[in-house]
Amino acid sequence: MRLLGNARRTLPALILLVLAGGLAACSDDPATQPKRSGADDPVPRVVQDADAALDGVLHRIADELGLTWATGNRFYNLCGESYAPGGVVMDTLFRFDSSDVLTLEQGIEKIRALLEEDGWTVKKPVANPDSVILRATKGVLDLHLELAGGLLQGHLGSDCIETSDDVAREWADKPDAELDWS
Amino acid sequence: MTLVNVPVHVPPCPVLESEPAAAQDLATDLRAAAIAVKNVQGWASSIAAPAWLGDTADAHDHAATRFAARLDGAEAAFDRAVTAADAFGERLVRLTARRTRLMTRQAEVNAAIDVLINEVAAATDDSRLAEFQRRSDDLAARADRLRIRIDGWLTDVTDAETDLVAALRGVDSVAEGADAAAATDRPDTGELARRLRSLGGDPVAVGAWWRRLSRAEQEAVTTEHPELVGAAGGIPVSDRDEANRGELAHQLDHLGQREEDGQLTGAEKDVLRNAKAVDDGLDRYAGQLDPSTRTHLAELIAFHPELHSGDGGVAVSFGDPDTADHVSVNVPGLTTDTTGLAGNLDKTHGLHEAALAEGRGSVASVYWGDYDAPSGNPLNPLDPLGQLDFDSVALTDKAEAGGDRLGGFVDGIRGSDQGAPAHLTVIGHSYGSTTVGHALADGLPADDAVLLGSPGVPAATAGQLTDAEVWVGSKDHDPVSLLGDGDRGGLGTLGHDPADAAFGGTRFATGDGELRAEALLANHTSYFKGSSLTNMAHVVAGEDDDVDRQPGRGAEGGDHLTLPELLVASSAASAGHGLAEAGEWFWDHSRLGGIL
Repeated sequence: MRLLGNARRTLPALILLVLAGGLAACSDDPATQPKRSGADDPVPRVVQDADAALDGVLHRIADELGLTWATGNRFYNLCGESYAPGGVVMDTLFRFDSSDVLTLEQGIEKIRALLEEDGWTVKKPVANPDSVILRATKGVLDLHLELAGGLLQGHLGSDCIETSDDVAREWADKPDAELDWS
Repeated sequence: MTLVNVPVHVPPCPVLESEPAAAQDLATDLRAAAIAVKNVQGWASSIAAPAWLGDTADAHDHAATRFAARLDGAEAAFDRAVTAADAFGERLVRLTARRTRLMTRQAEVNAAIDVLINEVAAATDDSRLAEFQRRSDDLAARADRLRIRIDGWLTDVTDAETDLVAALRGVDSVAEGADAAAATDRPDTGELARRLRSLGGDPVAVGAWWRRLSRAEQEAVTTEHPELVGAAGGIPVSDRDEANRGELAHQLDHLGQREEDGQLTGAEKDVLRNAKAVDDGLDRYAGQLDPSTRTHLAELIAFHPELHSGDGGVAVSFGDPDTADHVSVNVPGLTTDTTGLAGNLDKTHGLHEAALAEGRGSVASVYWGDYDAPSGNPLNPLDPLGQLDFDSVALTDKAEAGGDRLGGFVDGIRGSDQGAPAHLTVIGHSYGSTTVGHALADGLPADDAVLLGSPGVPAATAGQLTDAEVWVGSKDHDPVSLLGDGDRGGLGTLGHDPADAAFGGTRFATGDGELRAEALLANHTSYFKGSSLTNMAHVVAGEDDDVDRQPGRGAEGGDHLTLPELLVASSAASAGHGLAEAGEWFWDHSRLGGIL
């Protein structure tokens, strides 16, 4: 063990302390506005976009491919560390089962076409031994789909949505939500 | 025109009502009950009335013995039930794979039938009659064979369910439990546990021994000593997951009851808090399945809620490291404890998806938070100067001890690896990179190492550190990454800056991060996104040529600010903005503010 003198031991910590103490906040930076009002909270808009994707293009994909909703949930995580969250990440995970005949090639091409029709930027699908992966983006949303025989599962998420720390913690403290499919 | 008898479509394979993941959950619940019964049975067997004499002592011993004997029957019954549920789950995995193959074949045959129907309908004369008839006969034969295979599959599904029901019914009475307890082939869990302990530290030997055991023996020792099986490197990760999930469910049940009764000790409160965090973390991903087996995607490889000064230890994998082509192990740093599992799993899951999207084979992505990382709040003015845990971030002792544990863990999953050895990447962030550095220096068997936002590693060059390929993600505006010694000097408290060109690692593009003072910490905590994440995914999937590189510090094009220069420049960048808001930000982020 490298045992150092007291000053040297605490120096890195002190530097971080200086960093924090020296913070001169940027007035338009959400991370510097701890008491931001609910009306300025950008997260609901992202949630709205995610719901629109679920209700819209994902429903069309399910209908087109004859998929049955299996499960889905949504949760929020802090972007950074708990002492400096800076914002929140929204995650929606879901899974469909397929009782119908569905080949990977046919399925992925249909999904790709439906996403592009809905305004998503779709990357070229890639194949692994057990599944095919398709990724797409639209606005702040990222979509990751994995298609295997009789299974489509995915992740609809956002990059860090910058908010005040208080707002970020409020979202991160929300209980995870089960998603309905209707 | 002459008629051609085209075969009808093959009907779809019915949906499997019993899913492998649900069978896993059933087995976990039974296992948790078995663990609880065994704990009580062990207690009942051991109690005595040492200070008593005469009839009272005899009565007590008699009652305790009868009680223990009854519980022994329940214990044996549970072991059989768990074994049956586990076997059922494995059969479902195989049946699911068969169904996928049958569905694929069915799609091919039906598509060929459709093509033939269309061609026959489009024909205007009999010139292709012979060809149509031959193709039709071939398709009819293929369709018949496929129907037989589907029928066989259905029979096997029914058999699997029947066998499970029969096994459970065979141990659902006191008498049957007593019979199971008295059976001559009942596993000797004491001897099995002794053997496992004696092999500890040799994953290859443990793996070989484990494979020789019967399923009943494996299940019996798992429910008797879940903590031992769950932590034993060399045992297949799926079996360790079963043991750890069983222990987790048992702890939640046992300590949850004690909490309700107001009997929790301080240490038990920590254990319950950590167990709940792990349960919540696994719940989030419970709906995501391994595409090849339809079992839960997330596997609990290590579960030590009582360790590390109450912080707990945990390791969770997305995907099965034993079968994956590419395995990554992600080691967190400062402030890591089990209550922060959710955020760390989110990052690891993000890397898992990015690595899968490389299309270079199957992937398993492990989050390993099973060492005593420095905890605390670096923005807490009471922390660095006091005696709280964060003080130790400036020391290497926890990194050394953590590196030792990490080495044991990686040896363990190497020992249970199946088929060709997986391509293994170990990733360390912040203090976790120092921990990884110590593990590498001790010979960690990794192919690639990724050091993110590193405050230092214990060698001056990559070659001195390890034989693995060393990759470095280091934002120039991440102050922690400037702490290591090297070009233009850092403090060097934790070792050498791996981003230094002289170190000889390969630095990949991460972006510099924002210069404003209030963004510096965000720079340090944002490596699992953007170009940094993309480059890590390339490394994890073995796509080295796709990695976007940037010059090391001190190399041409690798100019950078020193730590004091960064502090001054970032303050200047933030100048002109409201000091009051800065004060409010700091107040909001410090525990002092919370206290007052």
